[in-house]
Amino acid sequence: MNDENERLGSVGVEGGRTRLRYRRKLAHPPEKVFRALTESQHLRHWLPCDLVGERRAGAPLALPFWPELIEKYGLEPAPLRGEIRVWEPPRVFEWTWDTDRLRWELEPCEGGTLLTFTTWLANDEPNPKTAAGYHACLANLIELLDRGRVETRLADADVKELEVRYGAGA
Amino acid sequence: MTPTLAALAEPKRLKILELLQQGERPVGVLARELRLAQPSTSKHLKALERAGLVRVRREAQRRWYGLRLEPLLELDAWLEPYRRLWAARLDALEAHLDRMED
Repeated sequence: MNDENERLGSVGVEGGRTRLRYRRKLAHPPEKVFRALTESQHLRHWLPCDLVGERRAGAPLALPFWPELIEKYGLEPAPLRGEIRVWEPPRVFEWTWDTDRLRWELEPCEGGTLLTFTTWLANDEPNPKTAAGYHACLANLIELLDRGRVETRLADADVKELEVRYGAGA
Repeated sequence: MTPTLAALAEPKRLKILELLQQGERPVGVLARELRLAQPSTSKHLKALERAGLVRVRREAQRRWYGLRLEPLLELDAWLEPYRRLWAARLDALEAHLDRMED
Protein backbone atom coordinates (compact mmCIF):
# COMPACT_ATOMS: atom_id res chain seq x y z
CA MET A 1 0.00 0.00 0.00
CA ASN A 2 1.41 3.38 -0.83
CA ASP A 3 1.92 5.91 1.93
CA GLU A 4 -0.35 8.57 0.52
CA ASN A 5 -3.31 6.22 0.60
CA GLU A 6 -2.61 5.32 4.22
CA ARG A 7 -2.25 8.96 5.11
CA LEU A 8 -5.70 9.66 3.65
CA GLY A 9 -7.38 7.10 5.84
CA SER A 10 -9.32 3.96 5.04
CA VAL A 11 -12.98 4.03 4.04
CA GLY A 12 -15.59 1.73 5.42
CA VAL A 13 -19.21 1.50 6.32
CA GLU A 14 -20.78 1.11 9.71
CA GLY A 15 -24.33 1.53 10.85
CA GLY A 16 -25.30 2.85 7.46
CA ARG A 17 -22.73 5.64 7.61
CA THR A 18 -19.48 6.24 5.83
CA ARG A 19 -16.55 5.72 8.13
CA LEU A 20 -13.02 7.06 7.78
CA ARG A 21 -10.23 5.57 9.89
CA TYR A 22 -6.71 6.87 10.35
CA ARG A 23 -3.79 5.31 12.18
CA ARG A 24 -0.74 7.25 13.17
CA LYS A 25 2.25 6.35 15.27
CA LEU A 26 3.19 9.33 17.39
CA ALA A 27 6.49 9.80 19.20
CA HIS A 28 4.78 11.12 22.31
CA PRO A 29 3.25 9.46 25.37
CA PRO A 30 -0.53 8.92 25.50
CA GLU A 31 -1.08 11.43 28.32
CA LYS A 32 0.47 14.17 26.24
CA VAL A 33 -1.44 13.24 23.11
CA PHE A 34 -4.67 13.15 25.09
CA ARG A 35 -4.05 16.70 26.31
CA ALA A 36 -3.45 17.87 22.76
CA LEU A 37 -6.78 16.29 21.78
CA THR A 38 -8.82 17.80 24.59
CA GLU A 39 -7.37 21.07 25.89
CA SER A 40 -8.36 24.34 24.23
CA GLN A 41 -4.86 25.82 24.18
CA HIS A 42 -3.73 22.83 22.11
CA LEU A 43 -6.86 22.37 20.01
CA ARG A 44 -6.27 25.81 18.59
CA HIS A 45 -3.30 24.50 16.64
CA TRP A 46 -5.03 21.77 14.67
CA LEU A 47 -8.80 21.74 15.10
CA PRO A 48 -10.83 24.58 13.59
CA CYS A 49 -13.10 24.86 16.60
CA ASP A 50 -12.92 24.86 20.36
CA LEU A 51 -14.60 22.25 22.56
CA VAL A 52 -16.49 24.21 25.18
CA GLY A 53 -18.07 22.22 27.98
CA GLU A 54 -17.37 19.94 30.90
CA ARG A 55 -15.07 17.02 30.34
CA ARG A 56 -17.26 14.02 31.16
CA ALA A 57 -19.35 11.48 29.27
CA GLY A 58 -22.72 12.95 28.38
CA ALA A 59 -21.62 16.58 28.70
CA PRO A 60 -22.97 18.90 26.00
CA LEU A 61 -20.46 20.79 23.89
CA ALA A 62 -20.49 24.11 22.13
CA LEU A 63 -18.15 24.05 19.14
CA PRO A 64 -17.29 27.60 18.13
CA PHE A 65 -14.83 28.22 15.32
CA TRP A 66 -11.74 30.10 16.45
CA PRO A 67 -12.14 33.88 16.00
CA GLU A 68 -9.20 34.14 13.63
CA LEU A 69 -10.82 31.56 11.32
CA ILE A 70 -14.20 33.25 11.46
CA GLU A 71 -12.54 36.43 10.37
CA LYS A 72 -10.26 34.91 7.76
CA TYR A 73 -12.87 32.73 6.05
CA GLY A 74 -16.07 34.57 6.89
CA LEU A 75 -17.40 31.57 8.79
CA GLU A 76 -20.75 31.38 10.54
CA PRO A 77 -20.07 32.68 14.05
CA ALA A 78 -22.88 30.70 15.74
CA PRO A 79 -21.28 27.56 17.21
CA LEU A 80 -22.33 24.07 16.25
CA ARG A 81 -23.28 21.77 19.06
CA GLY A 82 -22.20 18.33 20.11
CA GLU A 83 -21.66 16.06 23.05
CA ILE A 84 -18.94 14.04 24.72
CA ARG A 85 -19.85 10.38 24.39
CA VAL A 86 -16.81 8.70 25.89
CA TRP A 87 -14.31 10.27 28.28
CA GLU A 88 -11.63 7.81 29.40
CA PRO A 89 -8.32 9.63 29.72
CA PRO A 90 -5.78 8.89 28.43
CA ARG A 91 -7.16 6.06 26.28
CA VAL A 92 -10.46 6.99 24.63
CA PHE A 93 -12.15 10.23 23.75
CA GLU A 94 -15.28 10.28 21.65
CA TRP A 95 -17.50 13.21 20.80
CA THR A 96 -20.02 14.39 18.28
CA TRP A 97 -19.57 17.40 16.06
CA ASP A 98 -23.09 18.24 14.95
CA THR A 99 -24.01 15.11 12.97
CA ASP A 100 -20.49 13.67 12.70
CA ARG A 101 -19.03 11.33 15.26
CA LEU A 102 -15.34 11.34 16.19
CA ARG A 103 -13.49 8.72 18.19
CA TRP A 104 -9.90 8.90 19.36
CA GLU A 105 -8.19 5.79 20.68
CA LEU A 106 -4.74 5.95 22.20
CA GLU A 107 -2.63 2.91 22.77
CA PRO A 108 0.83 3.05 24.31
CA CYS A 109 3.45 1.50 22.13
CA GLU A 110 7.19 1.40 21.89
CA GLY A 111 8.34 4.92 21.13
CA GLY A 112 5.07 6.59 21.99
CA THR A 113 1.42 6.23 21.08
CA LEU A 114 -0.56 4.45 18.44
CA LEU A 115 -3.41 6.80 17.61
CA THR A 116 -6.51 5.53 15.89
CA PHE A 117 -8.91 8.18 14.75
CA THR A 118 -12.30 7.19 13.42
CA THR A 119 -14.99 9.47 12.12
CA TRP A 120 -18.46 8.57 10.95
CA LEU A 121 -19.74 11.10 8.46
CA ALA A 122 -23.19 12.61 8.43
CA ASN A 123 -25.58 10.62 6.36
CA ASP A 124 -27.05 13.01 3.85
CA GLU A 125 -29.20 10.49 2.03
CA PRO A 126 -32.76 11.75 2.28
CA ASN A 127 -34.26 8.27 2.18
CA PRO A 128 -33.24 6.18 5.20
CA LYS A 129 -34.20 2.98 3.43
CA THR A 130 -31.62 3.35 0.71
CA ALA A 131 -28.93 4.88 2.89
CA ALA A 132 -27.78 1.64 4.45
CA GLY A 133 -27.46 -0.07 1.09
CA TYR A 134 -25.81 2.98 -0.37
CA HIS A 135 -23.15 3.12 2.28
CA ALA A 136 -22.54 -0.59 2.33
CA CYS A 137 -21.73 -0.44 -1.35
CA LEU A 138 -19.55 2.60 -0.98
CA ALA A 139 -17.12 0.73 1.22
CA ASN A 140 -16.88 -2.15 -1.17
CA LEU A 141 -16.39 0.14 -4.12
CA ILE A 142 -13.59 2.02 -2.47
CA GLU A 143 -12.03 -1.30 -1.58
CA LEU A 144 -12.10 -2.24 -5.23
CA LEU A 145 -10.30 0.97 -6.09
CA ASP A 146 -7.82 0.64 -3.26
CA ARG A 147 -6.81 -2.83 -4.26
CA GLY A 148 -5.64 -1.20 -7.49
CA ARG A 149 -5.62 -4.31 -9.62
CA VAL A 150 -6.69 -2.49 -12.76
CA GLU A 151 -4.82 -3.80 -15.77
CA THR A 152 -3.39 -1.33 -18.24
CA ARG A 153 -4.59 -3.41 -21.15
CA LEU A 154 -8.06 -2.04 -20.45
CA ALA A 155 -7.02 0.87 -22.65
CA ASP A 156 -9.35 3.53 -21.33
CA ALA A 157 -8.88 7.10 -20.21
CA ASP A 158 -10.60 6.22 -16.96
CA VAL A 159 -7.93 3.68 -16.16
CA LYS A 160 -5.18 6.25 -16.48
CA GLU A 161 -6.98 8.39 -13.92
CA LEU A 162 -7.23 5.43 -11.54
CA GLU A 163 -3.55 4.68 -11.91
CA VAL A 164 -2.65 8.24 -11.07
CA ARG A 165 -4.79 8.20 -7.97
CA TYR A 166 -3.90 4.78 -6.68
CA GLY A 167 -0.51 4.05 -8.14
CA ALA A 168 -1.51 0.74 -9.74
CA GLY A 169 1.37 -1.66 -9.51
CA ALA A 170 2.55 -0.18 -6.22
CA MET B 1 -24.92 8.27 -7.07
CA THR B 2 -27.77 6.37 -5.46
CA PRO B 3 -28.80 4.34 -8.53
CA THR B 4 -25.15 3.40 -9.08
CA LEU B 5 -24.79 2.10 -5.60
CA ALA B 6 -28.21 0.52 -5.50
CA ALA B 7 -26.97 -1.57 -8.43
CA LEU B 8 -24.09 -2.71 -6.24
CA ALA B 9 -26.15 -3.75 -3.25
CA GLU B 10 -25.93 -7.31 -4.51
CA PRO B 11 -22.64 -9.13 -3.63
CA LYS B 12 -22.63 -11.05 -6.91
CA ARG B 13 -22.54 -7.81 -8.83
CA LEU B 14 -19.59 -6.61 -6.79
CA LYS B 15 -17.87 -9.87 -7.59
CA ILE B 16 -18.53 -9.27 -11.28
CA LEU B 17 -16.82 -5.90 -11.06
CA GLU B 18 -13.89 -7.45 -9.28
CA LEU B 19 -13.50 -10.00 -12.08
CA LEU B 20 -13.84 -7.36 -14.76
CA GLN B 21 -11.07 -5.37 -13.12
CA GLN B 22 -8.75 -8.04 -14.41
CA GLY B 23 -10.01 -7.72 -17.98
CA GLU B 24 -13.00 -8.06 -20.27
CA ARG B 25 -14.99 -11.27 -20.24
CA PRO B 26 -17.92 -12.81 -22.05
CA VAL B 27 -20.99 -13.73 -20.02
CA GLY B 28 -20.29 -17.49 -20.16
CA VAL B 29 -16.91 -17.07 -18.49
CA LEU B 30 -18.36 -14.78 -15.83
CA ALA B 31 -21.16 -17.23 -15.10
CA ARG B 32 -18.64 -20.00 -14.62
CA GLU B 33 -16.45 -17.90 -12.34
CA LEU B 34 -19.46 -16.86 -10.27
CA ARG B 35 -20.94 -20.35 -10.27
CA LEU B 36 -24.21 -18.92 -11.51
CA ALA B 37 -26.54 -19.82 -14.34
CA GLN B 38 -26.04 -17.72 -17.43
CA PRO B 39 -29.49 -16.05 -17.35
CA SER B 40 -28.89 -14.88 -13.76
CA THR B 41 -25.49 -13.56 -14.73
CA SER B 42 -26.98 -11.70 -17.68
CA LYS B 43 -29.53 -10.11 -15.38
CA HIS B 44 -26.81 -8.83 -13.10
CA LEU B 45 -24.83 -7.53 -16.05
CA LYS B 46 -27.87 -5.65 -17.32
CA ALA B 47 -28.32 -3.99 -13.95
CA LEU B 48 -24.66 -2.98 -13.92
CA GLU B 49 -24.92 -1.71 -17.47
CA ARG B 50 -27.94 0.44 -16.56
CA ALA B 51 -25.94 1.90 -13.69
CA GLY B 52 -23.08 2.73 -16.03
CA LEU B 53 -20.64 0.39 -14.36
CA VAL B 54 -20.07 -2.00 -17.25
CA ARG B 55 -19.99 -1.60 -21.01
CA VAL B 56 -20.36 -4.14 -23.79
CA ARG B 57 -18.32 -4.73 -26.89
CA ARG B 58 -19.33 -7.05 -29.68
CA GLU B 59 -16.66 -9.16 -31.32
CA ALA B 60 -17.62 -11.89 -33.75
CA GLN B 61 -20.51 -13.69 -32.09
CA ARG B 62 -19.63 -12.77 -28.54
CA ARG B 63 -20.41 -9.90 -26.24
CA TRP B 64 -17.47 -8.83 -24.11
CA TYR B 65 -18.22 -7.06 -20.86
CA GLY B 66 -15.80 -4.52 -19.48
CA LEU B 67 -15.57 -2.26 -16.45
CA ARG B 68 -16.54 1.41 -16.61
CA LEU B 69 -14.73 3.37 -13.96
CA GLU B 70 -16.52 6.69 -14.17
CA PRO B 71 -19.12 6.07 -11.43
CA LEU B 72 -16.45 4.67 -9.11
CA LEU B 73 -14.21 7.64 -9.69
CA GLU B 74 -17.12 9.95 -8.97
CA LEU B 75 -17.60 8.36 -5.59
CA ASP B 76 -13.93 8.52 -4.87
CA ALA B 77 -13.95 12.21 -5.79
CA TRP B 78 -16.85 12.79 -3.43
CA LEU B 79 -15.03 11.35 -0.46
CA GLU B 80 -11.61 12.72 -1.21
CA PRO B 81 -12.09 16.19 0.32
CA TYR B 82 -13.08 14.67 3.64
CA ARG B 83 -10.14 12.33 3.64
CA ARG B 84 -7.71 15.11 2.82
CA LEU B 85 -9.24 17.41 5.39
CA TRP B 86 -8.74 15.02 8.26
CA ALA B 87 -5.31 13.98 7.03
CA ALA B 88 -4.30 17.65 7.12
CA ARG B 89 -5.66 18.10 10.64
CA LEU B 90 -3.75 15.07 11.84
CA ASP B 91 -0.60 16.45 10.25
CA ALA B 92 -1.14 19.69 12.16
CA LEU B 93 -1.74 17.74 15.39
CA GLU B 94 1.55 15.91 14.91
CA ALA B 95 3.42 19.13 14.19
CA HIS B 96 1.97 20.70 17.31
CA LEU B 97 2.87 17.70 19.47
CA ASP B 98 6.45 17.99 18.29
CA ARG B 99 6.57 21.62 19.46
CA MET B 100 4.57 21.05 22.66
CA GLU B 101 6.26 20.63 26.01
CA ASP B 102 5.95 17.19 27.52
